[in-house]
Amino acid sequence: MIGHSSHLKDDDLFECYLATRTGEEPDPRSMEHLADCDHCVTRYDEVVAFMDTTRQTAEAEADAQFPPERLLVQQQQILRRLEHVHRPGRVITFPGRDTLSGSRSVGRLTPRWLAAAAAAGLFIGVAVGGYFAPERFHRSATQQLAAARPMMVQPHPAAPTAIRVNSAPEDTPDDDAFLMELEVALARPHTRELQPFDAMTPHVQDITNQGR
Amino acid sequence: MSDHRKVRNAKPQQAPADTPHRGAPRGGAPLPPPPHSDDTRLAIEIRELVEAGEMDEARERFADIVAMHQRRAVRIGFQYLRDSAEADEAVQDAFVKVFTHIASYREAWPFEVWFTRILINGCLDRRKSRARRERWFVQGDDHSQESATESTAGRSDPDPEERLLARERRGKLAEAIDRLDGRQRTVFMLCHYGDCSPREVSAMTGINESTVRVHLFRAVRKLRGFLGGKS
Repeated sequence: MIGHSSHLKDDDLFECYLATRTGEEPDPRSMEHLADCDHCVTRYDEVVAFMDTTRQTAEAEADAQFPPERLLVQQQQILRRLEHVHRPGRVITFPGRDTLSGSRSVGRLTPRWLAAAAAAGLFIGVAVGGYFAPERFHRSATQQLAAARPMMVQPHPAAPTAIRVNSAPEDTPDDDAFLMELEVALARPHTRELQPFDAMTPHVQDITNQGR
Repeated sequence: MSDHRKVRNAKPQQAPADTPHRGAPRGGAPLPPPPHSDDTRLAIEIRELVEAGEMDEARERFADIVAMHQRRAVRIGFQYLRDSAEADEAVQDAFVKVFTHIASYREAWPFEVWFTRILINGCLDRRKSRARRERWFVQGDDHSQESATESTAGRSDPDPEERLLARERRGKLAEAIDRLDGRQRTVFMLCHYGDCSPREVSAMTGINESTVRVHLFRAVRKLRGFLGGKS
C-alpha cells in the first residue's frame, strides 16, 4: 500500500460519485487515489450510501403517494384535458341575431303581418266612418269646443251661475243652509244625558244670526 | 425565492452541440451533436403534427410522452410541494402546458430539460402562492397526508416498527431539504430526484454549470450535517 500525504477532499469524493452516476468521466487522479487509499474508499462509500439512502427514501415516499392506479387516473385526466386544447370554444349566438340572418322563421313574420293588417283596418275604418257620417264627427267636435269655451273665455254677464259654481266665497251660504237644516232637524236631542253637552256646543245658526 | 427568479428567467445558454463535452480534449473539433433521445424525437413529431393540424394523432403520441415522464414528474412534484394532491395538479398542468406550447419547443435541449423546467416553474409558483396563503390563513391539522402515506406504505411494509422508522426518516429528510437555501434545494432536487446532470440543471436554471456543482456539493454537505452524518 502506498502512503498518502493527503487524502481526497470531500468535494473530490462527491465529484467522483456524481461522475459515476451521470456517466461522465471521473477525474483520473481521484480514481487513482481511490484505488490505493482504503480510508478514502470508506469515505467514498459513505457518500454513496448517504446519497442512495436519501434517494430511496424520497422515491419510496413519492411512489407510496402515487401508486400505479393513481398514475393511470392522472394520465387519463391529462388526456381528457388535452382534448380541449387547440379547439375553438363553442359560441352560442344570441337569439336576437337570428333576425339579421336570412333564415327568418314563420313564427316571427305572422305577428308583423297581423299588426300591419290591424293598422290598415283601423285607418280604413276611420276614413270610411268619416266619409259616411260626417255630421256626427262635426257635431262631436262642436260639442267639445262648446264645453271647453266657458273655461277659456272671460266670464259673461249672461251666465253668472257658471261663474258662481267655480268661486269659493259663494259656496258658504249654501253650506250654511245645509248645516242649518241639519241643526234644525237635530235641534232637540233625544237623549237626556247629552243635553248639557248640546247646550255647551256652539251652533251654526247662532253664529250666523250673530253675524247678521 | 432567488431560485424562482432564476428558473423563470433562465435561457438555454448554449446548444449542446456547441459545448465541448466534459472530458473531451479542449481546443479540439467540436463533437457531433448527440442523437436525440426517444422523448425528444417524439416531441418533434408531435410538434410537426400540431403544426399540420393533426390534433388527434398528436394527442395519441403525447400519451406516450406522458407515460415516459409521469413517474419522474410526480416524484419531483411531490418532493417540491410535499402534498400529493397539489403535486398531482402541478404535474397535470405541466403536461397540458407542454402540449399547448409544443410549437415553441426547440430541440437545442432535450425534451426532458424543457419539460422539467416547466414543471419546476409550476411547482415554485405553487409554493409561492401557498406561502402567501399561509401568511393569511391558519392552517388546519394535516394528518390526512400523513395517514395517506402510511396507509399506502403499509401495504408493502407490514412491520409497524419499520414503518415507524421509515416515517421518521422521511420526516427528517423532508425537514432537512426544506432547510436548504432555495438554489441549493432546487439543484439538489433536480440532480438527485430528477436524474438531471449538472449540465442539464444549468440549462434549466440558468446557473453556471460549475456553480451548480458547488451548490449541489454544499447541499449534500448540509444535509449530511442536518441528518446526523458527517458535515
